Amino acid sequence: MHLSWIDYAIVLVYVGGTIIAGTLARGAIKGISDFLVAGRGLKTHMAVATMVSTGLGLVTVMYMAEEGFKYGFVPFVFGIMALITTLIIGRTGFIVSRLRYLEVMTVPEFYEMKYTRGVRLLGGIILTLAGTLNMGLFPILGSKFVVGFTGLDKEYVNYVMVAMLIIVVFYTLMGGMVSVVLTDFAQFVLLALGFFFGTYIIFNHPQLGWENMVQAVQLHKGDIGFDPIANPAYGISMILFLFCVGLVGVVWQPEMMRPLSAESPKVARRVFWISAATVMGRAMVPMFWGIAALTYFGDPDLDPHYAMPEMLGQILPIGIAGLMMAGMFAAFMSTHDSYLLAWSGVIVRDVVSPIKAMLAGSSGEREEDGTWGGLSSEREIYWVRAIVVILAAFLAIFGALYQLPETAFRFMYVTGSIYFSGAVGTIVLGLYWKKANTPGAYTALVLGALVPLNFLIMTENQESVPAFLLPLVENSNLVGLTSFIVGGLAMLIVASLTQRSHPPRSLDFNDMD
Amino acid sequence: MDVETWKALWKIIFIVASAMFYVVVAVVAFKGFGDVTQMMRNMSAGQGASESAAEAKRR
Repeated sequence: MHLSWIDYAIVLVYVGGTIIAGTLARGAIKGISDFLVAGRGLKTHMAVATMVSTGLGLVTVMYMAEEGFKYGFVPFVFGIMALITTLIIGRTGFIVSRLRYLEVMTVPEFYEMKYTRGVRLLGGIILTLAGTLNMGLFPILGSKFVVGFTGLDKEYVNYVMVAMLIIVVFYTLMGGMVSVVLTDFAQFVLLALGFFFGTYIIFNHPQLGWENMVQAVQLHKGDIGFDPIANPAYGISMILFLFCVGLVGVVWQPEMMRPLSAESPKVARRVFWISAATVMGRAMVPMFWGIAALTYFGDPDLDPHYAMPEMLGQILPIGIAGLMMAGMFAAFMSTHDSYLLAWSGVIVRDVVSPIKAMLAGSSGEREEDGTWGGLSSEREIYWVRAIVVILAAFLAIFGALYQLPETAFRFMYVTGSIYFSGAVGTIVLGLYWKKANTPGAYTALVLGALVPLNFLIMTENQESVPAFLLPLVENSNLVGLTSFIVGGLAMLIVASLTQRSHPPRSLDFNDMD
Repeated sequence: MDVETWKALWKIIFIVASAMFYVVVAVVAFKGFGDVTQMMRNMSAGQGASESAAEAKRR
């Protein structure tokens, strides 16, 4: 065990505070919009804090560190692309302002406004599938950090995962988005402190420091540890893919919940403008830690999921180690609470509720309380809470059993593409192209999802893949890019061909600030 | 670009990225603290999140 009782006491105080805040927040929940989007009352700085916290989960720290450990300084290019795309969104309000203006609570809700209830149902199912698969590795990676950092025996990794999930589920059930926002704020501050002290100590450690780390990358990776264009795992295709994901990734429900919770479309845009200044640091600091782990242990064949936390556990002094542990615990919780809430919200509002509305033959108009004629507001909250518990159980089982195809980072991006690819056609073109219609939306959703799904299936059965398709199995960047193009083209072609039979619905944004 | 240039470039970018991150965190934490305390006060008074948001807009 690397930690002292002082470190554990710091962690316990933090976890206790989180549970109390979550319990208090229960009183603020009067309806489904309170539970899912905190009553749409978030001001700029709170929205920024909660968005940064969600984007900087423990799983992000782990897979960014893994990239640094495996590819050296090259993954820093991810931070640069994230900065560029976040600035574009912050400046133009691309997607976020218009969706906030429409007052939707989930992204597929937009499908019912622009297209039909059927598109919403299909979009909800695809988003649920992509979201839960994407989240599948979160708990196990978080648990590996705790085990590596504390020096616990690796056989406890599944028990730690379950214990951490129980804490998150408890306070998310209590206060929904209000709990998430409150705890995210504390997590935001703790995370930044953890980042600062961790990086400071690495910089000043006799075995580490910038120059030693550069030498270690040169020794273990060679020139391709520095040059992103020359590195075969990155290159132009990865850079282009990161740009597309950066722009379209905003439609990812957990990300989009913040702008949708903002008090106006203007605040929704401003949140991105301010948080743009954090995105490079959020990516590069954990990558820097991954490189430090490679330098510290000097063995590129180690499991990076354990190497980085083990290094931190060994080099951080008492007190700082506790702060770091609390910060990383905060990172674990801030992502899990948001994701559990986001996906449960989508399952209930965009899958269960529309089916109920269809069976009841309701007209499909939005009610005063934000429901659509399916479940009542109270029943939606009840079912969201139930699905949070079911999802958490699924994640525990998935995390314990699934083996990664490449790195965790690539798994996240490919599973995310199952949804993002269709989103190019249905959301981006739906918001900005007047001719976007229902047949185009169906085609974009289905074709966009098929390419990355194929990749996941082919990776598991490589021996039966034809030779001409092998590049797609070996390079996930190509899969991502191809699926974006397919999703966008599907809407453009099919909608153009079916304008007369299926005239598009128009949306009015003239009054938007 | 040669490797030595990449090495120098990554160092500068990392320092700039870290500085931007900590400055924004400090400013947001300072300015957002008031919003958090207001939210806690509203919750203690038994107000729902939507009611608090509507009241804030009226003010």
